[in-house]
Amino acid sequence: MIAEAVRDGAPPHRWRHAVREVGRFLRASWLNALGAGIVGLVVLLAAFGRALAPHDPNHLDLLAALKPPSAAHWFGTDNLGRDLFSRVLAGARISVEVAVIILGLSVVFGTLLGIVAGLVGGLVEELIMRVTDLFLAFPAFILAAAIAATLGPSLNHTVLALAVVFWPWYTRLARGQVLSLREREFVLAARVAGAGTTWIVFRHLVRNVLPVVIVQVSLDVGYAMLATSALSFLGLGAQPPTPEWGAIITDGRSFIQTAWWWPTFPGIALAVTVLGFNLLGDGLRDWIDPRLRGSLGGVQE
Amino acid sequence: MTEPVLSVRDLVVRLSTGRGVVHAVNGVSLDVEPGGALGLVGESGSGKSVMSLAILRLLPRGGRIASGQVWFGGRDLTGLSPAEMRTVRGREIAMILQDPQSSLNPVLPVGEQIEEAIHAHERVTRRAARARAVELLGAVGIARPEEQLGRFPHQFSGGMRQRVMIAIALALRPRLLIADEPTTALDVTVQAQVLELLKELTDEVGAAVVLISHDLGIMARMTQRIAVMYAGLVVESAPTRELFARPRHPYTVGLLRSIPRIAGARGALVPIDGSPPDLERLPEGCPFAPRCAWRIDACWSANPALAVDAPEHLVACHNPAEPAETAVGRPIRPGFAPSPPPARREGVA
Repeated sequence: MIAEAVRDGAPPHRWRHAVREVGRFLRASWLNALGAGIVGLVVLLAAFGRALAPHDPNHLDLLAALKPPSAAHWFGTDNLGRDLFSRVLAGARISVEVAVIILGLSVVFGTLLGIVAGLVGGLVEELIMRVTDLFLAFPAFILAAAIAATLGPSLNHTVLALAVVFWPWYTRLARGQVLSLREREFVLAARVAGAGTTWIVFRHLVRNVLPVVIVQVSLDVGYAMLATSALSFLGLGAQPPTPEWGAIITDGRSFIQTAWWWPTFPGIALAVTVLGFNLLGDGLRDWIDPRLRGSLGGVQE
Repeated sequence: MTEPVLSVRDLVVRLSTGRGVVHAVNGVSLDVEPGGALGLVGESGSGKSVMSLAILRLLPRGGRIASGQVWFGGRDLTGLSPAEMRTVRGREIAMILQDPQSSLNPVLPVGEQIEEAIHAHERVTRRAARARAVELLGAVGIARPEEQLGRFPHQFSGGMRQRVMIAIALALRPRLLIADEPTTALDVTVQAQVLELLKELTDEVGAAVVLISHDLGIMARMTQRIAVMYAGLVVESAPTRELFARPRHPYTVGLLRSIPRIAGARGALVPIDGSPPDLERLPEGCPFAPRCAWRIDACWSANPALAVDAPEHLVACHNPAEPAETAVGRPIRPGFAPSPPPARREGVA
């Protein structure tokens, strides 16, 4: 069996090891399990929510307008008779997609720039880091709002604006990591073995920066979702009839006294989702910190 | 005599730091015979490590080869392009670094790191590289190598990690292996095993070795020839037996007297007084003069050149120690007193 695994290019214990690690992470704290559970649920709903939804999220039924929660409409309906439960489910997909795109753009762009800055040094580093400082010096949300407002209100522009806000954090993070990794002997060892710079970046640096970046991403997903909804709430993001949570809340805001369920349920969905990602992110950070020290620096042994 | 594998000629290395220029290596010449083992001894900061990095052209930021040549395989390595240099590193000259703890990438399985060294120079299939890695791990004495391939460095002990480093270094059967304090970070019991392995495998591969250490015990076991370095210079160079039996340079005498001995333990260890010179401001004369009991007036004004003292035995000293004196560790000629520093003489006059 071992021989087979070796032939397939996958050593046998890596997967088993990974599964064991996940189990240990979830058992380490009930908050970890809760965070992971919420995130898992949100991701599942994002993937299959459309199939589960009892109604079309944009289907108008004026006869059923502003109905309170019932067996037919679990979260009630809005002033146009749309089923809020279906809309919240559809919103889960939008939030997840938006967060993935925002962070995908920021992580790839930010991390690579950070690695380049840390590795090349000199004028290039100076230039990159001063530009990130420029972006970081601006209050992030105001910057995003300004960009979204300038480009015109739309969900795509919001995504772009938030990516612009998030990337400098990853540049900083990656550069800091590379600065310390660069001095580590295994980079010298790789050079001694005849490795070139590109090889070292992708083989050694990216792989070592990745765990830290993943933790940061898990912390940022919640913020990205919240910021998207906030911009939509302000009317800069998703436009009607898109069932984005922030947009639903802002529509329902003026009805809060007559139809409390309208802004409440998407609000709860947003709060719980962000909470889930934050719990997971915090848990991962605490989990990986002492272990990083163990495997990277040798304190553990 | 056969053509040396590596021939360093008048190598000068400078390191620019924020504060000034460090004269790390100040004109070193060395030869390494094919299949032979040359030891480089000297205290920290004597330029041993910097020189080995200079040979591979991997000096840290601010470091540069100011002059001199490094002849290897008929080419001067100091004149090669970076791309040509990469084909030399790992393939023809391999190096083992001091600390196996940090020389392996913590996030990659050990097997991949060995395969990587092979892939860096040879076009082989993943399967072939994997088979070679298994073979190599077996050769360095790691039990059940197939199972160990997928494990991560932190799951290995220090000795095992250094074995892995040896496997990586010898993966491509290099002609020269530079081992920079390969056992300093290891337990004493493991040290002996790792050294034995290193010796066995380099003999098998036919690689010449440059062994860097401040441990003369290791040198006696592993090398045929030793070069003693001080302040970026070779001060004495001789066949290992000869150097131990008949050291000539006062610094070598001091080094030999500072080794603890189990047999015939008489009295305390003898340290060498003073500390090595500031490499940013080297003195005009012999850099060892301020710490030397044999110094004469000339030592303050002129740095002695490395000259033949006996067949195969080179010394850079104006007033080398006599055999009778090496046992006591100080000059015993009647009426001899070390020359006082010039500043003091001026003060008196």
